[in-house]
Amino acid sequence: MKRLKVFALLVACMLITLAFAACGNDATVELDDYDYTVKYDDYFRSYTIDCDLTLRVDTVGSYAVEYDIVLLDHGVAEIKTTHREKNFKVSRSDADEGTYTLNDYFSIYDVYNSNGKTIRIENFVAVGNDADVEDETAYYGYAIGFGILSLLILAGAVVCFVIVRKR
Amino acid sequence: MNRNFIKTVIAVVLGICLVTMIMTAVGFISEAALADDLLQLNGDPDIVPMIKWTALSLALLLIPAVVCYVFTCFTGHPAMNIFAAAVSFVITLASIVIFIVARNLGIEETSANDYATVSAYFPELLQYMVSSLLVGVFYVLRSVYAFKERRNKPAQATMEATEHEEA
Repeated sequence: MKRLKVFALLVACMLITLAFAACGNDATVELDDYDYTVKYDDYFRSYTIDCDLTLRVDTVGSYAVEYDIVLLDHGVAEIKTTHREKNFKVSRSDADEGTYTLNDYFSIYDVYNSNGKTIRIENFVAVGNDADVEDETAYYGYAIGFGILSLLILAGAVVCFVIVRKR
Repeated sequence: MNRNFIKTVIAVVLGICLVTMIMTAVGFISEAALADDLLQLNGDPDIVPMIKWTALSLALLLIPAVVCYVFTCFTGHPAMNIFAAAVSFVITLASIVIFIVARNLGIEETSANDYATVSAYFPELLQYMVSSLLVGVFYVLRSVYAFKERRNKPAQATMEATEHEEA
Protein backbone atom coordinates (compact mmCIF):
# COMPACT_ATOMS: atom_id res chain seq x y z
CA MET A 1 0.00 0.00 0.00
CA LYS A 2 2.84 2.34 0.90
CA ARG A 3 4.56 1.59 -2.41
CA LEU A 4 1.35 2.26 -4.27
CA LYS A 5 1.07 5.66 -2.59
CA VAL A 6 4.63 6.56 -3.65
CA PHE A 7 3.84 5.58 -7.25
CA ALA A 8 0.61 7.53 -7.20
CA LEU A 9 2.55 10.56 -5.95
CA LEU A 10 5.16 10.21 -8.70
CA VAL A 11 2.50 9.84 -11.39
CA ALA A 12 0.61 12.86 -9.98
CA CYS A 13 3.82 14.93 -10.05
CA MET A 14 4.38 14.02 -13.69
CA LEU A 15 0.80 14.76 -14.67
CA ILE A 16 0.98 18.17 -12.96
CA THR A 17 4.21 18.90 -14.86
CA LEU A 18 2.58 17.87 -18.12
CA ALA A 19 -0.46 20.02 -17.44
CA PHE A 20 1.83 22.94 -16.62
CA ALA A 21 3.75 22.33 -19.83
CA ALA A 22 0.58 22.18 -21.90
CA CYS A 23 -0.75 25.52 -20.61
CA GLY A 24 1.26 27.71 -22.96
CA ASN A 25 0.29 31.35 -23.29
CA ASP A 26 -0.55 32.30 -26.84
CA ALA A 27 1.61 35.07 -28.17
CA THR A 28 -0.10 37.70 -30.29
CA VAL A 29 1.20 40.60 -32.36
CA GLU A 30 -0.91 43.44 -33.70
CA LEU A 31 -0.01 46.46 -35.74
CA ASP A 32 -0.58 49.54 -33.58
CA ASP A 33 0.87 52.39 -35.62
CA TYR A 34 3.54 53.20 -38.18
CA ASP A 35 5.79 56.07 -39.04
CA TYR A 36 7.80 56.46 -42.24
CA THR A 37 9.94 58.55 -44.53
CA VAL A 38 9.93 58.24 -48.32
CA LYS A 39 12.94 59.58 -50.21
CA TYR A 40 13.48 59.69 -53.92
CA ASP A 41 16.91 58.96 -55.37
CA ASP A 42 17.35 60.64 -58.76
CA TYR A 43 20.42 58.65 -59.70
CA PHE A 44 18.85 55.21 -59.11
CA ARG A 45 15.35 56.38 -59.90
CA SER A 46 14.14 54.68 -56.81
CA TYR A 47 12.22 55.35 -53.65
CA THR A 48 13.81 54.47 -50.33
CA ILE A 49 11.27 53.73 -47.67
CA ASP A 50 12.29 53.79 -44.01
CA CYS A 51 9.35 52.59 -41.97
CA ASP A 52 8.98 52.02 -38.23
CA LEU A 53 6.10 49.75 -37.31
CA THR A 54 4.87 49.92 -33.73
CA LEU A 55 3.63 46.46 -32.84
CA ARG A 56 1.59 45.48 -29.82
CA VAL A 57 3.13 42.39 -28.20
CA ASP A 58 2.21 40.58 -25.01
CA THR A 59 5.00 38.12 -24.37
CA VAL A 60 8.62 37.35 -25.17
CA GLY A 61 9.31 35.10 -28.12
CA SER A 62 10.14 34.95 -31.79
CA TYR A 63 7.65 36.17 -34.34
CA ALA A 64 7.19 36.48 -38.05
CA VAL A 65 5.05 39.14 -39.68
CA GLU A 66 3.93 39.69 -43.25
CA TYR A 67 2.41 42.81 -44.73
CA ASP A 68 2.07 44.78 -47.93
CA ILE A 69 3.45 48.30 -48.29
CA VAL A 70 1.51 50.28 -50.85
CA LEU A 71 3.23 53.30 -52.36
CA LEU A 72 0.63 55.98 -53.03
CA ASP A 73 0.66 59.09 -55.16
CA HIS A 74 -0.81 62.00 -53.18
CA GLY A 75 -2.38 59.53 -50.80
CA VAL A 76 -4.79 58.17 -53.40
CA ALA A 77 -3.47 56.41 -56.49
CA GLU A 78 -1.62 53.15 -55.88
CA ILE A 79 1.70 53.04 -57.68
CA LYS A 80 3.31 49.88 -56.41
CA THR A 81 2.59 47.23 -53.77
CA THR A 82 5.48 45.41 -52.15
CA HIS A 83 5.04 42.31 -50.02
CA ARG A 84 7.25 42.28 -46.94
CA GLU A 85 8.20 39.46 -44.55
CA LYS A 86 10.13 40.08 -41.35
CA ASN A 87 11.27 37.96 -38.42
CA PHE A 88 12.04 39.45 -35.04
CA LYS A 89 12.49 38.57 -31.39
CA VAL A 90 10.72 40.27 -28.53
CA SER A 91 12.80 40.53 -25.37
CA ARG A 92 11.55 40.98 -21.82
CA SER A 93 11.91 44.78 -21.82
CA ASP A 94 9.77 45.06 -24.99
CA ALA A 95 7.16 42.68 -23.62
CA ASP A 96 6.96 44.68 -20.38
CA GLU A 97 6.43 47.85 -22.40
CA GLY A 98 3.82 46.03 -24.49
CA THR A 99 5.21 47.37 -27.76
CA TYR A 100 7.98 46.48 -30.17
CA THR A 101 9.30 48.79 -32.88
CA LEU A 102 10.09 46.97 -36.10
CA ASN A 103 12.21 48.84 -38.58
CA ASP A 104 11.86 48.11 -42.29
CA TYR A 105 14.19 49.80 -44.76
CA PHE A 106 14.03 49.02 -48.46
CA SER A 107 13.98 50.52 -51.95
CA ILE A 108 11.49 50.44 -54.78
CA TYR A 109 13.03 50.85 -58.23
CA ASP A 110 11.69 51.98 -61.60
CA VAL A 111 9.25 54.53 -60.25
CA TYR A 112 9.65 57.89 -61.93
CA ASN A 113 7.29 60.39 -60.37
CA SER A 114 8.86 62.03 -57.34
CA ASN A 115 6.14 64.22 -55.85
CA GLY A 116 3.86 63.63 -52.89
CA LYS A 117 4.49 60.02 -52.14
CA THR A 118 3.01 58.34 -49.10
CA ILE A 119 2.74 54.74 -48.03
CA ARG A 120 0.01 52.61 -46.54
CA ILE A 121 0.36 49.25 -44.79
CA GLU A 122 -2.15 46.59 -45.71
CA ASN A 123 -2.84 42.90 -45.04
CA PHE A 124 -0.80 42.76 -41.84
CA VAL A 125 -0.52 39.16 -40.67
CA ALA A 126 1.48 37.94 -37.68
CA VAL A 127 2.76 34.41 -38.07
CA GLY A 128 3.61 32.83 -34.75
CA ASN A 129 5.31 29.44 -34.67
CA ASP A 130 6.33 29.70 -38.27
CA ALA A 131 8.56 26.88 -39.46
CA ASP A 132 11.53 29.24 -39.57
CA VAL A 133 10.75 30.90 -36.27
CA GLU A 134 11.10 28.98 -33.05
CA ASP A 135 8.68 30.03 -30.36
CA GLU A 136 8.55 29.02 -26.70
CA THR A 137 5.67 26.70 -27.52
CA ALA A 138 7.91 24.79 -29.92
CA TYR A 139 9.81 23.43 -26.92
CA TYR A 140 6.76 22.34 -24.92
CA GLY A 141 6.81 19.33 -27.21
CA TYR A 142 10.04 18.11 -25.63
CA ALA A 143 8.59 18.23 -22.11
CA ILE A 144 5.31 16.62 -23.17
CA GLY A 145 7.07 13.92 -25.20
CA PHE A 146 9.54 13.06 -22.48
CA GLY A 147 6.79 13.19 -19.84
CA ILE A 148 4.75 10.63 -21.77
CA LEU A 149 7.89 8.54 -22.29
CA SER A 150 8.59 8.68 -18.52
CA LEU A 151 5.06 7.50 -17.76
CA LEU A 152 5.37 4.64 -20.24
CA ILE A 153 8.72 3.58 -18.80
CA LEU A 154 7.32 3.74 -15.27
CA ALA A 155 4.33 1.64 -16.27
CA GLY A 156 6.63 -0.84 -18.03
CA ALA A 157 8.88 -1.09 -14.97
CA VAL A 158 5.92 -1.73 -12.66
CA VAL A 159 4.47 -4.39 -14.99
CA CYS A 160 7.88 -6.04 -15.40
CA PHE A 161 8.42 -6.01 -11.60
CA VAL A 162 5.02 -7.54 -10.90
CA ILE A 163 5.54 -10.30 -13.51
CA VAL A 164 9.03 -11.11 -12.21
CA ARG A 165 7.82 -11.23 -8.57
CA LYS A 166 4.91 -13.53 -9.42
CA ARG A 167 7.21 -16.02 -11.14
CA MET B 1 42.90 -9.88 -9.84
CA ASN B 2 40.86 -10.15 -6.68
CA ARG B 3 37.20 -10.53 -7.63
CA ASN B 4 35.95 -8.76 -4.51
CA PHE B 5 38.16 -5.77 -5.30
CA ILE B 6 36.67 -5.51 -8.82
CA LYS B 7 33.16 -5.77 -7.38
CA THR B 8 33.93 -2.95 -4.91
CA VAL B 9 35.35 -0.74 -7.67
CA ILE B 10 32.27 -1.33 -9.86
CA ALA B 11 29.95 -0.60 -6.93
CA VAL B 12 31.79 2.66 -6.18
CA VAL B 13 31.71 3.76 -9.84
CA LEU B 14 28.01 2.91 -10.09
CA GLY B 15 27.31 4.82 -6.87
CA ILE B 16 29.16 7.87 -8.15
CA CYS B 17 27.25 7.67 -11.44
CA LEU B 18 23.89 7.46 -9.69
CA VAL B 19 24.72 10.35 -7.35
CA THR B 20 25.94 12.40 -10.35
CA MET B 21 22.71 11.67 -12.23
CA ILE B 22 20.54 12.69 -9.28
CA MET B 23 22.59 15.85 -8.66
CA THR B 24 22.44 16.75 -12.35
CA ALA B 25 18.68 16.21 -12.41
CA VAL B 26 18.33 18.55 -9.42
CA GLY B 27 20.49 21.02 -11.34
CA PHE B 28 18.21 20.65 -14.36
CA ILE B 29 15.11 21.34 -12.27
CA SER B 30 16.64 24.48 -10.73
CA GLU B 31 17.81 25.58 -14.19
CA ALA B 32 14.28 25.14 -15.56
CA ALA B 33 12.81 27.06 -12.64
CA LEU B 34 15.27 29.95 -12.95
CA ALA B 35 15.46 30.08 -16.76
CA ASP B 36 13.02 33.00 -16.93
CA ASP B 37 15.57 35.14 -15.05
CA LEU B 38 17.61 35.12 -18.25
CA LEU B 39 14.69 36.73 -20.05
CA GLN B 40 14.73 39.54 -17.49
CA LEU B 41 18.35 40.11 -18.52
CA ASN B 42 17.35 40.18 -22.19
CA GLY B 43 18.41 36.60 -22.84
CA ASP B 44 17.54 35.18 -26.23
CA PRO B 45 13.83 34.21 -26.40
CA ASP B 46 14.72 31.11 -28.44
CA ILE B 47 17.45 29.75 -26.20
CA VAL B 48 15.82 30.30 -22.80
CA PRO B 49 12.68 28.20 -23.47
CA MET B 50 14.83 25.52 -25.06
CA ILE B 51 16.96 25.23 -21.91
CA LYS B 52 13.90 25.41 -19.64
CA TRP B 53 11.86 22.68 -21.28
CA THR B 54 14.63 20.29 -22.27
CA ALA B 55 16.14 20.45 -18.75
CA LEU B 56 12.74 19.63 -17.30
CA SER B 57 12.34 16.78 -19.80
CA LEU B 58 15.64 15.19 -18.82
CA ALA B 59 14.87 15.54 -15.11
CA LEU B 60 11.50 13.83 -15.71
CA LEU B 61 13.23 10.84 -17.28
CA LEU B 62 15.20 10.15 -14.11
CA ILE B 63 12.06 9.33 -12.07
CA PRO B 64 11.18 6.07 -13.87
CA ALA B 65 14.88 5.28 -14.20
CA VAL B 66 15.45 5.40 -10.44
CA VAL B 67 12.26 3.40 -9.83
CA CYS B 68 13.55 0.85 -12.34
CA TYR B 69 16.96 0.63 -10.63
CA VAL B 70 15.29 0.06 -7.25
CA PHE B 71 13.11 -2.73 -8.70
CA THR B 72 16.17 -4.31 -10.28
CA CYS B 73 17.94 -4.25 -6.90
CA PHE B 74 14.94 -6.01 -5.29
CA THR B 75 14.58 -8.77 -7.88
CA GLY B 76 17.96 -9.17 -9.59
CA HIS B 77 16.11 -10.82 -12.47
CA PRO B 78 17.87 -10.62 -15.89
CA ALA B 79 14.76 -9.12 -17.51
CA MET B 80 14.74 -6.28 -14.96
CA ASN B 81 18.46 -5.74 -15.56
CA ILE B 82 17.86 -5.43 -19.30
CA PHE B 83 14.97 -3.05 -18.68
CA ALA B 84 17.15 -0.87 -16.41
CA ALA B 85 19.90 -0.88 -19.05
CA ALA B 86 17.41 0.14 -21.75
CA VAL B 87 16.09 3.02 -19.61
CA SER B 88 19.66 4.21 -19.00
CA PHE B 89 20.41 4.15 -22.72
CA VAL B 90 17.19 6.09 -23.41
CA ILE B 91 18.50 8.81 -21.06
CA THR B 92 21.88 8.75 -22.82
CA LEU B 93 20.21 9.06 -26.22
CA ALA B 94 17.94 11.88 -25.03
CA SER B 95 20.98 13.76 -23.64
CA ILE B 96 22.82 13.34 -26.95
CA VAL B 97 19.82 14.60 -28.96
CA ILE B 98 19.34 17.62 -26.69
CA PHE B 99 23.08 18.33 -26.79
CA ILE B 100 22.96 18.44 -30.61
CA VAL B 101 19.79 20.59 -30.63
CA ALA B 102 21.29 23.04 -28.10
CA ARG B 103 24.59 23.31 -29.97
CA ASN B 104 22.89 23.92 -33.31
CA LEU B 105 20.67 26.58 -31.78
CA GLY B 106 23.69 28.25 -30.16
CA ILE B 107 25.54 28.38 -33.48
CA GLU B 108 22.46 29.66 -35.36
CA GLU B 109 22.19 32.64 -33.01
CA THR B 110 25.61 33.91 -34.18
CA SER B 111 26.14 35.79 -30.94
CA ALA B 112 28.92 34.91 -28.49
CA ASN B 113 26.66 35.74 -25.54
CA ASP B 114 23.94 33.38 -26.75
CA TYR B 115 26.46 30.63 -27.39
CA ALA B 116 27.89 31.16 -23.89
CA THR B 117 24.38 30.75 -22.45
CA VAL B 118 23.94 27.47 -24.29
CA SER B 119 27.44 26.20 -23.57
CA ALA B 120 26.84 26.63 -19.83
CA TYR B 121 24.25 23.86 -20.30
CA PHE B 122 26.74 21.44 -21.94
CA PRO B 123 28.70 20.15 -18.89
CA GLU B 124 25.49 19.04 -17.18
CA LEU B 125 24.32 17.30 -20.33
CA LEU B 126 27.67 15.54 -20.68
CA GLN B 127 27.62 14.43 -17.02
CA TYR B 128 24.13 13.03 -17.47
CA MET B 129 25.13 11.35 -20.72
CA VAL B 130 28.27 9.66 -19.37
CA SER B 131 26.69 8.63 -16.04
CA SER B 132 23.65 7.06 -17.67
CA LEU B 133 25.86 5.32 -20.22
CA LEU B 134 28.03 3.78 -17.45
CA VAL B 135 24.94 2.71 -15.49
CA GLY B 136 23.52 1.18 -18.67
CA VAL B 137 26.72 -0.75 -19.35
CA PHE B 138 26.72 -1.97 -15.74
CA TYR B 139 23.19 -3.31 -16.06
CA VAL B 140 23.99 -4.99 -19.39
CA LEU B 141 26.93 -6.80 -17.74
CA ARG B 142 24.78 -7.68 -14.75
CA SER B 143 22.07 -9.14 -16.95
CA VAL B 144 24.68 -11.27 -18.75
CA TYR B 145 25.94 -12.62 -15.38
CA ALA B 146 22.36 -13.13 -14.20
CA PHE B 147 21.58 -15.17 -17.34
CA LYS B 148 24.75 -17.25 -16.85
CA GLU B 149 23.90 -17.93 -13.21
CA ARG B 150 20.36 -18.95 -14.17
CA ARG B 151 21.72 -21.34 -16.80
CA ASN B 152 24.24 -22.89 -14.36
CA LYS B 153 21.80 -23.24 -11.48
CA PRO B 154 19.57 -26.03 -12.90
CA ALA B 155 22.64 -28.05 -13.98
CA GLN B 156 24.17 -27.69 -10.52
CA ALA B 157 20.89 -28.67 -8.88
CA THR B 158 20.65 -31.82 -11.07
CA MET B 159 24.23 -32.81 -10.24
CA GLU B 160 23.61 -32.35 -6.53
CA ALA B 161 20.39 -34.41 -6.75
CA THR B 162 22.23 -37.26 -8.58
CA GLU B 163 25.03 -37.26 -6.00
CA HIS B 164 22.44 -37.37 -3.23
CA GLU B 165 20.66 -40.34 -4.86
CA GLU B 166 23.94 -42.25 -5.32
CA ALA B 167 24.87 -41.73 -1.69
